[in-house]
Amino acid sequence: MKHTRPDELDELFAQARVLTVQDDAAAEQAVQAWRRSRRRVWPARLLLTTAVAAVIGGLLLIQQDQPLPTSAAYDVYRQASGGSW
Amino acid sequence: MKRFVLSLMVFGGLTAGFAHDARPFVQHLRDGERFQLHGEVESSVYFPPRAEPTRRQRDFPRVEFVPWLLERNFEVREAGVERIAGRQAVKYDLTPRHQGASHWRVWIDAQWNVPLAIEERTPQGEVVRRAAYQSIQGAPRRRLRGAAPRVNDDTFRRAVGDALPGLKLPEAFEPVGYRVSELGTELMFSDGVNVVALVIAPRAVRAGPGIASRRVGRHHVWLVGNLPDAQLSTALAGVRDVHFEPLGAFVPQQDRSR
Repeated sequence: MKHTRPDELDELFAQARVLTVQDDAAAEQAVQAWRRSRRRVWPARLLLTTAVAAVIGGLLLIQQDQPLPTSAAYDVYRQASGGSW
Repeated sequence: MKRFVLSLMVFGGLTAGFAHDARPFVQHLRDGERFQLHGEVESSVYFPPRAEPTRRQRDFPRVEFVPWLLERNFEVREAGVERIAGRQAVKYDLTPRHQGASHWRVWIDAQWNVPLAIEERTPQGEVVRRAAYQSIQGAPRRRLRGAAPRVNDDTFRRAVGDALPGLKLPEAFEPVGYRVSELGTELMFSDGVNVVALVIAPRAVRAGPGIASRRVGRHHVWLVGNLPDAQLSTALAGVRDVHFEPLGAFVPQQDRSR
């Protein structure tokens, strides 16, 4: 097994720190891939938020159509007929 | 012949005297409005229904008497003296001249002129509400705040008719109050003692005893009162529309509790 001398290691590390065209291309690919993944997440979140809002809105609308309990009418009568009964 | 005519005049005078019992009674009610007793009251209420029909309380319940309508729509007769909470009380019977409405009995303290007991019964004789002092402490005290006055105003009556064309309450009932709440616009009608409440609301209300309601355009109109359900339904059946503009000329009465 060949052993690398310390001065050869230093040269290797120095070479690794120098950015090449291939390094730029790889970095650009990684960024593009990350951006593509973010674009996929945003529509999903927007869709989910819209769906939740629609459900809540629908429930509120259904509740509005529900008649009030008889106690609402009787409370009005109690107030009108004198109170403290 | 002269003797006959004289007898008729005397008889007429006697009966006229009984019919005039309404005025002293109305004066007692006005006196009672200004004073309050301190004691324990037992009240029983069967309409509107409540969880505990009978309970003890400190305050004597209010009844919204409307003097000019009471004199017009009720026979008032003095019906003897009884003891209530250890005090002498004159009993008055109030009998409506119109069909379907409740009869009332009021016991007025013979010395202080304030109500000691009150009772509402259906035309069939069933108790609807009853309240009576069980004990009284001290003398009557003066109220600092009066009741909200009942409206006696032709312009207001016409405005209510314009706001709800086709509304047909029994003739004895007239609009005497108006307020706006979170439920909607509320109108109070009275025959002098009995009350019917009308609500113009954005939402319907469930059916129940003493409740009639129907949709009129975008609104729901409710009628609540101790009248036969058929009478309540008939009153609303002809309502053609709801107009708020005629009522806009009036300031709603404040909630008495504020």
